[in-house]
Amino acid sequence: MKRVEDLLREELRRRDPGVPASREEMLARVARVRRRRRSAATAGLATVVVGAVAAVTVGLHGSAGQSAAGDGDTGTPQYTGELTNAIFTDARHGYVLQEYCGLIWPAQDPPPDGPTPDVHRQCRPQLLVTADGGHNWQERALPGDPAIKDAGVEIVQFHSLMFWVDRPGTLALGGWDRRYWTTTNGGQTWHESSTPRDVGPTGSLAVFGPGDRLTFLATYPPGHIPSDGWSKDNPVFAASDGSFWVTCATTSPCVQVTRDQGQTWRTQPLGGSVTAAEWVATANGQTVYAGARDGSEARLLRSTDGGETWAPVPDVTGLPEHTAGGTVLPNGDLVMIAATEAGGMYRLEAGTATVEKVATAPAHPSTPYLTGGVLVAGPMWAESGQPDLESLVSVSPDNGSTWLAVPAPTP
Amino acid sequence: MLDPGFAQFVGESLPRLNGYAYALTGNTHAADDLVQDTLVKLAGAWRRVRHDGNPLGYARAVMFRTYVSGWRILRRRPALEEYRDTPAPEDRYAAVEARDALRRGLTRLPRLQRAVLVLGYLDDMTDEEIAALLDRRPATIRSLRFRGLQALREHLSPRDQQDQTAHDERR
Repeated sequence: MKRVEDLLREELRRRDPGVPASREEMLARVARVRRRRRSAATAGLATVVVGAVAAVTVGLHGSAGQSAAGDGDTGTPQYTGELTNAIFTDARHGYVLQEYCGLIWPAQDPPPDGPTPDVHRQCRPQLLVTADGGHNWQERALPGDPAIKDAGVEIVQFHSLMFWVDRPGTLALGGWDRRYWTTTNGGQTWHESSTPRDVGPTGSLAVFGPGDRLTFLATYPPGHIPSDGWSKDNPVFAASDGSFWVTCATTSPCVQVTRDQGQTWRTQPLGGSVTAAEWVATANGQTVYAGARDGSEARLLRSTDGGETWAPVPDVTGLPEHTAGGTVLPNGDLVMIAATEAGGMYRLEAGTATVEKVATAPAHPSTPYLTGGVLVAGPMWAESGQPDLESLVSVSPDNGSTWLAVPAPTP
Repeated sequence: MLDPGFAQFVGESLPRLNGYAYALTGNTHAADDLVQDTLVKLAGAWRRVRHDGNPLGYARAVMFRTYVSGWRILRRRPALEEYRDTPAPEDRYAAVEARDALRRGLTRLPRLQRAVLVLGYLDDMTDEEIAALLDRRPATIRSLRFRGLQALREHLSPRDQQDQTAHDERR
């Protein structure tokens, strides 16, 4: 057996299959944090925030909770809003499951060689319901908390398999220990299942299929491995022809597709001079777009034969410096998100070569997804810090032309 | 708007910083957060750091000190899932099992021990260099390195025995 030092050296130098944030995304994150800090400082909000923090903390923890700000033994609370998933069952009826979380970190740094202390993180899940296409939202009571680990399926940030369509007309909420509840009346009442939630055959990969139904692909795409519990992005996208698509996990510029529910996967190189594939998007499984890079240059490739051959979109102009995700709309338009400091959403209209910024879209959206014909955009990253959170998710009933912000999660 | 020189530095150094952060946290998304927090601090001191001439060294020191000082690794999600404690049934998985056990052992080390091991075995830094970076005495670093390696050995050993037992039972 190798010496532990050699094993350690080898392990630390091994490249992880995970995809870290790109330069552009990281710069955008840094710039945003600095802007938020500057604006808070210049507006003289510090005093107000301290007061608000105390009030919100008490609200979040309830009367029985120990006030984080008041006992002198804890540090500054930090708040995050987290989107579990948004589902529209048709153009009018939509459901957004989100959480308001408070995290209390000890005021005193832990001893340098001591164990990491417990961090008291408490979340309040909130189900918002609309019956008018996202103009007005009402809150409905939930039977339990959505699981954020040990759910038996991967938990995808902002588009999580903890909230799904169990069968037509029935929504399901996945909780801890594989408990789950269903509702047939839009969240007015819930029924707990007597059996644990289905997590599929061993080794299968749970993904969203058409209609926000859970689908279990028999195997992971080659090179992909189960994550450590939750993923940053949806790993696999479903097309209307029954195919499922994902970019290769390796550094090779290629995409992978299965047309038999994950029994077999086909790897399709993007060809040309591109050096990396960053995302793949398709609506029908025949016209497929891929965001790629050629060195430091962004490239947009298209296949019109189900991924067999690829070519750059000819004469395309206006492509952002870095794109991090795309979605093909039913009308053939492609919407992309920019992982740059300026952020934003961009559209390539079907049959054109000019990429234009969607002026009405949220500033820093994550890759949008379609549900019930409605386009949903979550946040690019979890906001944290001040107790008054911004709206997490916006919905567009008209293919991205207009956007409606869903109310922010509240304590 | 960020300084163009800072943006260039981020482009050049991000792979290295990602490597450090992943080695420390064992989680891609926590690593992203640690890199972000490091760069936010660096951006605030960029003018001075640039003049000092070693921004990567400064960033590395910031990152490790941030991590060691009780960085909010759990701010968005629990940092790491518990690994399932089910050894693979075949010997051909032995290498994978050893890696798994090593990663599991690393996650259970106190932060300072883990930081010392990362600097010592990722960057091959001496105890004296690590001591200077983490603002500790060299003797403390030597002790931390020894205790960290010892903990990893102990973590690997029972697993080897477990694997052997399972193997014997199948025969």
